[in-house]
Amino acid sequence: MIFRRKSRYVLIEPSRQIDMSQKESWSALREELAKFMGEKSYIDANPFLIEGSSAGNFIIRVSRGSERQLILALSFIKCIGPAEIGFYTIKTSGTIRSLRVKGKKL
Amino acid sequence: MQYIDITNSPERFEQKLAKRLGFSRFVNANDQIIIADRAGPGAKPLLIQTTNPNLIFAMIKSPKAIGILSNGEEVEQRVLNKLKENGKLVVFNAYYLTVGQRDRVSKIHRLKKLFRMAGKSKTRMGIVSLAPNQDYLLSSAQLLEIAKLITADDHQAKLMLSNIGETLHDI
Repeated sequence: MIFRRKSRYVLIEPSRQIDMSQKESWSALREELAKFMGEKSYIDANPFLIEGSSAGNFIIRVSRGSERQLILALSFIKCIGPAEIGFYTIKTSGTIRSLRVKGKKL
Repeated sequence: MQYIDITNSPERFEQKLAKRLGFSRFVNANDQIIIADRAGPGAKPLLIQTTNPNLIFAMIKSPKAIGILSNGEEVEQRVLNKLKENGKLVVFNAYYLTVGQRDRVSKIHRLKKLFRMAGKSKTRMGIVSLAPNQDYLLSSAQLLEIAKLITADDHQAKLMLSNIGETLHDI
């Protein structure tokens, strides 16, 4: 029996221009998420950056059931390093394709 | 069921941004409605921000009053009863929670206490972001999650968002 973790994908739009495909930006966001979610919730959620574009929008994968905690944590994150920034969660989906279509429409 | 958010920025946000975030539109507290602690001239809808019961009683009867804006202050039971009689809202301010991490847990406890008191007197409630700039804007999903911190119930949280939409859809 092959165990496959069930996931949810969240499309996120930052309030200011940030290139999430850069390693430093993603590491800084992960630290903030771990701080707000707590160790156990962060480990259970296991957030992973799927796609980041220089245009701004990016997609994060989390374990199914943890997407709400991710959404709440992103509401409270207002700075990455020294830069002030906000994150809007646009859509949550079980597939990446629907989020890519939505991301193109934005 | 439409969701409307009240923001508090010097300039209006784009309505396209509102649609992306899951709201039908934004209402700006600087020009479309007034947040005040006393009645004044003007026909704009009014959100009352004071804890003085006498001032609240004077303003709550106006058809333009939306309700009282709460930052976790204690609200007297007779004020909640008056709000319920007049069909007005207790409006929770999400910016109060998102503005800083300091004392956030105790802020949430204060808001939960107010929610319990208002719930017992069956007063209608709402939640808004009151974002001063685009960094503090929230999507409807995020505002729903913050409402769940206060209400601990999915249905009540959705009701809080939709009450604002029902009250403001004429503006």
